[in-house]
Amino acid sequence: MTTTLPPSETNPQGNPSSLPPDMRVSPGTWLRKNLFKNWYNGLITVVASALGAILIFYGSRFVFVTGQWEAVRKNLTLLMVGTYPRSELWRLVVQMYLVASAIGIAWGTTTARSQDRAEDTGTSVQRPTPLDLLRRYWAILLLLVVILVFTRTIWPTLFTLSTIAVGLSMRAGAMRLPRSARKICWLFAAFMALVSFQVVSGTGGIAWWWTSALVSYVALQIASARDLTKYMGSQIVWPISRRVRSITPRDLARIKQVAQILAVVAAVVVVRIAYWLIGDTSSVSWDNWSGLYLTLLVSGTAILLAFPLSLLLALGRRSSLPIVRYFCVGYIEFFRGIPFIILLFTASIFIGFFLNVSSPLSLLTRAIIAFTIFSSAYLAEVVRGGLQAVPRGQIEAGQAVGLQPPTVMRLIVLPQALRAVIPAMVGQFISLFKDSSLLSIISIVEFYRARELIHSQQEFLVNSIAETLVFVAFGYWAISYTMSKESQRLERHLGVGER
Amino acid sequence: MSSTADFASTQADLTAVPSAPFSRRLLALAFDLLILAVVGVGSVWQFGLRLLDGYSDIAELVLAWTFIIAVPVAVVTIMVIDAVRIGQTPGKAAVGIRSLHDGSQKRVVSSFDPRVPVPGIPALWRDVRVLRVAGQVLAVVVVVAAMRWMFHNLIVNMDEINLPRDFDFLDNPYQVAIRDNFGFDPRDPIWKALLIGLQNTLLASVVGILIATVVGLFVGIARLSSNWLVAKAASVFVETLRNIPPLVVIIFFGSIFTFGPLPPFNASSPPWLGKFFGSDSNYLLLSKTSQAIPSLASGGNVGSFWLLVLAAALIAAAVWVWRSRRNEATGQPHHRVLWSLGIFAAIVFASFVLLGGPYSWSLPGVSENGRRVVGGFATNSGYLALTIGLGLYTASFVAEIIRGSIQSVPRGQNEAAITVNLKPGQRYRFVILPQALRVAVPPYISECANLIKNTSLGIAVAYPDLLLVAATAWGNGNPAPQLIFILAMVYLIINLFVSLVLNVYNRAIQLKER
Repeated sequence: MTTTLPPSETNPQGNPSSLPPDMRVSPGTWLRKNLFKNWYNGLITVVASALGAILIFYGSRFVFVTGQWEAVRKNLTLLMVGTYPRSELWRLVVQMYLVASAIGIAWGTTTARSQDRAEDTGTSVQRPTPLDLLRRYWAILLLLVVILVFTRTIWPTLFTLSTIAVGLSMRAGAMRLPRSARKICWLFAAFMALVSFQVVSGTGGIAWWWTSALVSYVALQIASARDLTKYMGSQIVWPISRRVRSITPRDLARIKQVAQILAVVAAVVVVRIAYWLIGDTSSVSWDNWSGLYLTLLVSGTAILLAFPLSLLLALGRRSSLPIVRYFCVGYIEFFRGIPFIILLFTASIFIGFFLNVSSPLSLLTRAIIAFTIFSSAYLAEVVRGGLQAVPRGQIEAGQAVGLQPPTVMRLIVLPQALRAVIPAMVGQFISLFKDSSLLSIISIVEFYRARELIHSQQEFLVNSIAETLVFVAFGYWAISYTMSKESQRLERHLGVGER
Repeated sequence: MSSTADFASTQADLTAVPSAPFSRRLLALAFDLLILAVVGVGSVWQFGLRLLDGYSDIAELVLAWTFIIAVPVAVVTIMVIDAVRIGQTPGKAAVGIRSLHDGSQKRVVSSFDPRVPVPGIPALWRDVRVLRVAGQVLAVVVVVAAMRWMFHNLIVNMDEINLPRDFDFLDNPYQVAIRDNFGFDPRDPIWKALLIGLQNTLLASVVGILIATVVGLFVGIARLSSNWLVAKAASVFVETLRNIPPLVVIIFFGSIFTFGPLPPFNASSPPWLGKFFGSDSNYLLLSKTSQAIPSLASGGNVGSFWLLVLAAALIAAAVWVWRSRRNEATGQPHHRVLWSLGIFAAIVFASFVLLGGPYSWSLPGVSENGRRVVGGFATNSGYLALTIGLGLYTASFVAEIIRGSIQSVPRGQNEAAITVNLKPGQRYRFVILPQALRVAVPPYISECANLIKNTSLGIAVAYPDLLLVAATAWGNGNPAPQLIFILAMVYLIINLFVSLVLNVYNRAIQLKER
């Protein structure tokens, strides 16, 4: 098929000789060019395809024919949530719905915001087609399908589909909200994610306390959002007091204060009452969180806790005060120089010796402390890279307009630096995710340790070793592969290194 | 925000600069006193009096008296200096009018408005020089106090469960045998076991790095191959291995040995022996636990053989220099690698033959009780699983480094090499690789450092590396804190050595710019 262009101004006759050459290649040419360029390339191709065919044959025979997948099928719950009390599994179900909603809202808000920006600048935004999404997330979708194939009843499948449906509908809803609601949407997503952890831990666990603090903070932020206070002022406060006048900034400030106090009280009371209503007085300590769930959670928690610490360390390492700098360099180099597993043994054996706490910390808490210390040292180097990438002129410009050094840091340097290190931080998260497998060595039941527990069962002492290992390896692989592809996409998207 | 607009209407009145009023000086002094009293009394109490009460060695006594004397002296000195300086400090620098929202106006007094230059000496707590020193002193105090608190707790807690606090336990017997190390007796001291562990760690690191480098180089270049299938296979290798935790990779290879088709190694079940065709000599011994390959066994004349090898090396070096000079003088191709390697090989071979074979092959076999490998180079499944697993895992990262470094060489360099008619091999050797190497070496060395740290995963496949030896020791009731301290220091020294090498190398190959 040849393409014929309509006559244009520069090429009025549509003269074929001035058209660009047809770049499409026939399959034969492609083969000759890419596989059989010369005799040794042909030889390599033949040998490689023979080897590949053998590998694929034995691989697929193992997966579909000879593999004894009963061990995985029977212990799927163990692999996913480990030793989490089976009677409390509903908490995880509720959490998944909440998290799906949070992700849906956050996703919808970002999409809507990029559309806003495109509208403002008069450009169009390229929406990813379903095929694009499939290409981007095929690995993790495959993992999901594999897990669902291993389930025995229809309920997990229905649950997964309904979770996805909830997430997508939340996304659609968030995209239809007006522009002024963007910030609230973000906060609301964070609120839901936090509440979900309260559901998982119940009211007695340690997680209840810190998530409660965070919930109050987020509620505070929601309450102080400008549009919300304005809305409350015009729709609720003034009609009630029957005073018709425009709202002054002073009124707004007062409403904001009241709303903030109310929000904190309401957040605590509402969650508490909700628990009371559903009769939930029990609690699940986070030492019971395990399996793949724990693996994801520990790496997420470690990176969240390590981030502020690493920011301080990176700033300290670039500080002009020599002693502060030496301390930070010492901390970073020390913890980067020793294997993580040594730190884990420290945590499991005697980290409690250092801290004079009245009751001994649980093993998981100690492991998370070690994980945070370790990852903060690595993350500090990542953040330092970002700080170094900010041109000196930016700081000087800030100083020239009379900003104080902390303000220059907060308003000029950090926003640029942190934006530049997002892909590297995803990379760091991947390596934390992989490193979390080491927790199995100090017998914390994460994803890999759950697999070892399978083989402590009488039935599977020496059977199905390869099957469970392949399943676990595939689980790790699918998640890290998707994340690494995402980080590469993010890098292109943010244009790191191009400015 | 609105404050910017407000300041626009501020009329600075710089003429009104009265000196600090008495009340202000009093306030400042009170503020000083408060801060210094809190810091001073706190540190005198914590580091002085309490320490004096229960000091355990002379260093703590010195520390205690330093705090008891130095802190009050410092407090008084700072207060006197401050009192004098505040007297010289102008009180109100900028006086202006600011209009507010409701239209009213407010008198603004600010001595710290950065837009208004303040004459005179700033107050002590606004003097950058003072703040810098104070900040660092504060950092030292906080860090030292935190460390002291933690180590004090550690000592108290160790005393509580009767753990020794010194390193004398290193002389105690280790009590267990070390896998596949028949020279070690369970009655030997712990430090000897730790040395064997270190040796095993280094052995695994060197071979692991070797595997990672060779495979990584190969796969990295294969990813850039023009052959679609080869490039695709290489990228599958990389994407698979680097997204799986190293622990799982190592366990995978460990399981191949433990649960694979290989026979166990005991009296009733002999290992699998690979024999040369038609003879009775083994070239390979495979079992679930032990594996062996032929090795060299030293006979007589070993000393003189190595002396001759040294002489051969010196002669080869001389030939190298001679060829280089000749090349410079006449312009003939030097071929110094061929020349010196050839001469070296010839001399070594000749001396080997003349000395009647100082080395002979030692072939692996099974001992009489059927439980041990005799002869050859024997190793165990833990070692193989660790080195192969880590080597391949790290190879996937090395491959990415190689690919990235080759791609980072600008295209123009390759095109320029084509225009001066260099062959593909020459293009790589003289133009692309020298430039790619400069990019590749720093990340490559940090990958090697990672591999060395990851050898501690040998604990998962029962390979007696440093960590497993130490873990066994503390499992037998020896104090873990000291052992972990030793481990951390050893790994730290290895890593600092690696980064030293990196820095020296980096400086050597840096582009020499103007």
